[in-house]
Amino acid sequence: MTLIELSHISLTYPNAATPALYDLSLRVEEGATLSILGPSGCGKTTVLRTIAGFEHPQSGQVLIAGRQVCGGGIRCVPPEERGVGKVFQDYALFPHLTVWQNVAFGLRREGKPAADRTVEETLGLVGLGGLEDRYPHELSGGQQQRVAIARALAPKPIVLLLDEPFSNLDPDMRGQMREEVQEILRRTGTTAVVVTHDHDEAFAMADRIAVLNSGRLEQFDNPESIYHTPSTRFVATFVGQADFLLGRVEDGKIHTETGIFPNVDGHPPGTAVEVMIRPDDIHIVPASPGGAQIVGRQFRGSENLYTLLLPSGQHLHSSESSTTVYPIGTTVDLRVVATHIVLFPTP
Amino acid sequence: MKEAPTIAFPGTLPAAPPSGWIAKAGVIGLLAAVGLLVLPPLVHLTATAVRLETVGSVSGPSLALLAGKSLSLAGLSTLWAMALALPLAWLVVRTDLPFRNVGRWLAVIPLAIPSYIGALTYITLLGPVGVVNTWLGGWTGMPHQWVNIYGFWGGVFILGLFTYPYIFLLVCGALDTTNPAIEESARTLGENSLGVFRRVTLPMLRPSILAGGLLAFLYALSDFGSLSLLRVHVFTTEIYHQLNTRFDQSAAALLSFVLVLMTLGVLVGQRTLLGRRSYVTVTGTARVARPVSLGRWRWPASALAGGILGLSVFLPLGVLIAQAGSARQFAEVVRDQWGFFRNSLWTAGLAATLAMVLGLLIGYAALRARGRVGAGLSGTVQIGYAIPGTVLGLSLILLYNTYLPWLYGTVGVLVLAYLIRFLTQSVQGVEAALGGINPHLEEAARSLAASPGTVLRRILAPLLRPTLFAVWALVFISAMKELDATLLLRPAGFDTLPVRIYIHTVEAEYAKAAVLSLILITLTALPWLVMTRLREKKIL
Repeated sequence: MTLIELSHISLTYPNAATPALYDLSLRVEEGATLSILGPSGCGKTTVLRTIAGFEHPQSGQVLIAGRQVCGGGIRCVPPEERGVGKVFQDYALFPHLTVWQNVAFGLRREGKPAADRTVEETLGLVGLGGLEDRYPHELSGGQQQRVAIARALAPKPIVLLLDEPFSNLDPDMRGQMREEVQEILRRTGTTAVVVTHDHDEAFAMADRIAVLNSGRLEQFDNPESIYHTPSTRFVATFVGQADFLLGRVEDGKIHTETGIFPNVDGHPPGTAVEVMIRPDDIHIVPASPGGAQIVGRQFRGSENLYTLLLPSGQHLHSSESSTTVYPIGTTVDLRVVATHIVLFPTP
Repeated sequence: MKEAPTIAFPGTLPAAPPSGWIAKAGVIGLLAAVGLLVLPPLVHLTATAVRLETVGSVSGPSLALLAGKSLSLAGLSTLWAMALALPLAWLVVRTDLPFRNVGRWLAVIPLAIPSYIGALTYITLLGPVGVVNTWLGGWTGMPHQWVNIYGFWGGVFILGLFTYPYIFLLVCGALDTTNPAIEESARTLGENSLGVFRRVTLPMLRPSILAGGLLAFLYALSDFGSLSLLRVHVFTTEIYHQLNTRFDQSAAALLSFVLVLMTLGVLVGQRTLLGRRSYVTVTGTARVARPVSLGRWRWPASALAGGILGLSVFLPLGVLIAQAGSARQFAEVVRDQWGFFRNSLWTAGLAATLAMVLGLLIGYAALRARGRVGAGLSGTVQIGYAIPGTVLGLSLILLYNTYLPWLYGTVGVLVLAYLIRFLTQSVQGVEAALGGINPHLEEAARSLAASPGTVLRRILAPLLRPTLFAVWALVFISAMKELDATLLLRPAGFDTLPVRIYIHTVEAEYAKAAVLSLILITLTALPWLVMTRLREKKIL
């Protein structure tokens, strides 16, 4: 069942020259996690604020659980009547309330005994039992994050919105919190929308990813497709290292410096195209004389990323296991193993 | 190569032991100097107050009555100030009130109007022989006292009206820096705008309201000028009465002692009240909250804001300008009283300069000493500020009369009193600015072989220049306006502007008082205006 639906949303801030969101359509299925991925200023936070009800788009519609909350000539439903929970980037905990009071804040309509039970359950869920009487400033960053999640989850929202939830945490805490949050979402069956600029985070958490650039939707797909078959050059480079190999269509194939690729998109003969190659698609074997030369090496722990120079002057990258090291200057032959062929017209 | 052993003393930098030692001696020297400046008057006052013979001169019941009256006057005027400040602050910061930026600027002006001038303007209007009574008497043909500003309620009215900016400024600051995400998260948790204000915004403002309220309360408790003009019997006016009319120094000392105890009690109470809660919500990424649309409340809200500004800014200034009369009259008063200007200007200027230099040294020493010594230094300086002017005046009279009679009755005592009262403004300004300077700058200079003295002169002083100018102006303004201690300490015939205003008002020469008041307000507002202008242009 579709729980959240945004259709043809356009939004321009007052005094802004360009729209923050342009003709954006998205859907989130019940129980799924959607990740909105993009560089800073791409409009991803605006999408979240539109779902929450803090921004009112000039055109388009927002549906939450089948109810129209914005657009279609009706007055936008205010945030407090939408049943969304939000976790803010800086947590936005109420500084004058204890942990317990923060989590109980949204439970006023339940009776006191029921609210107390919910608070206790939720604090148990996020692993904060025993800290009920602390004030926010007496907690560590990770603990504040847990309170923010508990506070948003306690009223059992239709959807949980998370705005760059891990960006204020130390790197070593980030992975741990991410796994914990995923586990909490899974156990409670909560539908979630996570805004992030970190593609690893999006890949790890999301069932579907929406890549945004300058207020426009570049691609809306599952994580694997986003990585392997990006639909635009922007997506290709934003979610990982990518090289673009120049080629020309001849006899129904694409001929490049390093080999021949199938013409999957059926480009007419004679056209110049580019083949996207990820570093894990290329393997290198030392050879003399070889087809390329190693000109750089970055050690990345489990792998080495080599920069290769082709005779034409173009650079390619290849990632190899870090157990063997080839010195810079080595001449190598390339073995391109591309399971997904992605072609782009030359710019 | 063997490493040379280094001996590190806790709290000093091992890099330069000799200069560290000098700095330590400097800190101790400063601590002693500040201690000698502030503490002896209070100790001597206490000694005089607790001597046995004084107990008989002021009876217990009358003391309790006076305490009750002083405290309820301060409390009620603080509540009145809160009632004025809160709606005004919320309207100018968070709503689309017309002219809200101008309003925000105007609302601070009452700080430039000393409360005794405020009292003067309302006495001119609503006093027994004031404008309103005269006009109503003429109109009805019945000379009768229709309205009367004198007394307890007049005191409450005036003090609240001229102290509300303390609360207003702090509440505006808190509203500015509150992270809007906190209010937004309350919305997602099911509260409407009214609920958010009641359950989130107001509780978060509480520390600012309390802190501003404390300033207003202490001001009201220690104020002498306006309450004396309004003929209210509270501690300060009674101390003055005992000293100047009944010449009973020991009764005055006892009253002063009790007043100081009350002030300290309020300060200690405030510490316990705020407790462990911290309200720091300032974050780097906080956006500015979108203004609330007033809708059909736009005009009632404007009327309220206009009313508050009318009572506290336009009406008083209007009365002063009307009373001052023609330009010729104005010039005549100025020519007559030129000597008093000079007195005010040079005493305040001298006090400000001394406070600036001492403030720099003390602020730097307190920062370097850190820990208990540093806190002790700035804490001692703060005591001076907490002593009501009347009490300080009396304490200095008692002390110098007994031990340094050659100093008593000189201008030196006056400057000393200004220094004791206002040094903390300078120290706190310098400390705040020093706290904002990246300590790595100092460490970098030290690693380039600069001594602490060189660091202070070549790195910190230039960076602090705007602050030093600001604290000089602040102390200058405060000293220019000082009435309570000046009235007791001035050498015979050495009147300052505030003293002349006070005397003219007592003698019902309102026109002369108005001219001098306008000049005093201009003289104190000018440095402040220059400062804000420069700050806007980022020169300061």
